[in-house]
Amino acid sequence: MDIRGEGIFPDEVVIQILARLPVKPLLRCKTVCKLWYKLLFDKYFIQVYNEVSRKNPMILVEISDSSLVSKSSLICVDNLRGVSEFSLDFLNDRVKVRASCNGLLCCSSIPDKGVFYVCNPVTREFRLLPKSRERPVTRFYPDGEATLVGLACDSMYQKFNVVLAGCHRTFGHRPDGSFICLVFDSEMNKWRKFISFQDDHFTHMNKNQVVYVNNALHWLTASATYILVLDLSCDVWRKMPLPYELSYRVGNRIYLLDFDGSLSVIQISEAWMNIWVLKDYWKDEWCLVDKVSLRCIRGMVPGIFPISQTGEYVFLATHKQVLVYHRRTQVWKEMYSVKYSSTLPLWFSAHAYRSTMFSCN
Amino acid sequence: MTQLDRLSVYHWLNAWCIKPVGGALVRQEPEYILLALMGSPLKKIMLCSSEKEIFSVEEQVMVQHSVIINNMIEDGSYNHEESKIPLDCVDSKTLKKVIDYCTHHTHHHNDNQEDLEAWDAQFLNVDSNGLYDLLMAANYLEIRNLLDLIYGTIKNMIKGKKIDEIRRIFNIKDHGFTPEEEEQNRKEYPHFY
Repeated sequence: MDIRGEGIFPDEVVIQILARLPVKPLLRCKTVCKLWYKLLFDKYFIQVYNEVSRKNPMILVEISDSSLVSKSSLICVDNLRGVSEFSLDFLNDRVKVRASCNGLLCCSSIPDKGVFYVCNPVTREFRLLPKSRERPVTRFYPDGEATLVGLACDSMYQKFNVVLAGCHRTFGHRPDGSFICLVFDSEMNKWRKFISFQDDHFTHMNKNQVVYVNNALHWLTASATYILVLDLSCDVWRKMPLPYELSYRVGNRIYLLDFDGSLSVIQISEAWMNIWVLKDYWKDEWCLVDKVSLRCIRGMVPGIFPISQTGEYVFLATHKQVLVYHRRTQVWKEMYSVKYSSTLPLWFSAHAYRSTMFSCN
Repeated sequence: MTQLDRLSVYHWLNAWCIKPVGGALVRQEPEYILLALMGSPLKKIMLCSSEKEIFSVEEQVMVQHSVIINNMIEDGSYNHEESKIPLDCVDSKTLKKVIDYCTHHTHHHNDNQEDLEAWDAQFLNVDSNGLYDLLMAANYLEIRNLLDLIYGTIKNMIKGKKIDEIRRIFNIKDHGFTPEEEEQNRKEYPHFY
C-alpha cells in the first residue's frame, strides 16, 4: 500500500505522523529533508510528541543472558510499538538505570562508583553529573551505594533534580541513624546536602518505585505503613498516609506507581488487584478506581509486580514475562517473554518509562 | 423525546435488534424500528461533494465524528430545511468512504475491539491515491479517530523504509539539504539509504 499522491502533506499532518514513531525511525527522519530536520527541534513538535507519549506507558527492562557473563541489554516494551531494543551506548560507559522520570533516566556507572548520568535516550543527550565534593558514596551504608536514588523531572520548567539519600556511617562505626540527602539541581549544576534522622528500611522494589508528583519524590517503606515524601521545594522529609483500608490489612503486597500524574497505590492479594489513586493530594483523599480480578493469571500472582500504568493500561512484570492489562476491555496480554534462562528476574530491574524529548542540557 | 433520549434508545436497540430472516439471525436497522416506534424520521443532513453530488446522512452520525460539522450545526449556520454543507475539497468517492466510516462506527460502537479493528483494516484497503484523499478529508472535517487510524497506518509504512522511499511516499522532491550536507548524511548513516 502506498500513498503515491501528487499532493502535499500539511505540516500538522507530518507532525502528527512523526510524533507516533518509535525512537529509531524518528531519528532516521532527521535525514529525510531539511524541513523534517528542523521539525525535531521545534517546540510544537516536542509538545505533540510528549502528548502522544503521555498516553503510551512503557516499561524499561534489563535482560541479562546467563550464558554471556557480562552482557546485559535494555529493552523497552510498550503498547503502541511492542518490544524494541533500547541503547544507552551514547553514554560510552557501562551503566545501570537507577531511576526514570518523565522521559529522563538517571544511570550510575558500573565501573566508576559515584559517577551518575542523566540522559534522554530519545534525543541521545546526556549530562554527566559533577561529583559532589563530599564524595558521599563511600560513606553510605550498606554497600557504599546510595540507598535511595530519585529523579525529579519538571517538564514544564525543563529542569530536574537528582536525589541520593542514604544512611551515614563513619568508618569503623555502626550507622547512627542520620540520613544524608544529596540533591542535585540542574539549573545551578550543583549538589546541596542536608541531614535528617530516620531509620526507615526500604526493599528493593521500594527503591525502584519512586514517584515524582507535585514537586516531591515519594517512596514506600518496607513496613508499607506510610509513604515517605521528600519535598524538593523545601528539602524536608515527611510522611503521607496510605488509604485507610490498606494500612490494616495484612498479607497484601503494595506498590507505589504514577497514575497520569497522580500518586497511586496498587494492592495485590491472591485474587484481586486493587488500584488506588490519590485524588486530592493535599487532603490525603484516596479513591479506589478499579478492582481487577486476577483469575486469568492465577498461576502468576505470587510472582507478579506492577511497574507502570496509565488510566487505560497497567504493565506488570514477572520473573520472565511482561504483561499488560487493558482496563476498559479487561483483557490481559503477554507483551514479552524471556526465551533463555536469565539470572535476574525481569521485575528486578524494571522501570516505568515514557519517551519524551525533554532536554537535559 | 429529547435528542439525548433518542440516541440512548437508538444504541439500546442497536444492541438488541436481532430478528430471524430466512433462518439466519439478522440485525434489523434500528432507525426503522425507531421510525415505527416514534413515527418520525431521524434527522438527516445533506453533504455536498466537490463534484456537486449530494449525500444524505444522519445528523447524529456526522456530529459524533466530525468536529467541523458539529460546530456548524451547533452554531446554527446549518438550516435543516434548505441548506446543504458544501465540502469542496472532498470528492464523491472519498466522501462516500468517510460517511461509511462514521456510520459504521456509530452503529457498531458496542462491538468488541477486535471486530472493530478488523473492519478498520479492511476499510483502509484502498488504492494508492485513496489513502491520501481520505487523510485530507479526515483532516479537513477533523474526524479524530479516523485521523488517528490513518496516522497509525502511515507511521507503520515509513517505519522500516529507506530515506529515498520515504521521500517518494511524502512526495518530497527537494530535500533542502546542501550537497555537502546530503553527502555527510549518506556517509554517516549508509544503512538509511
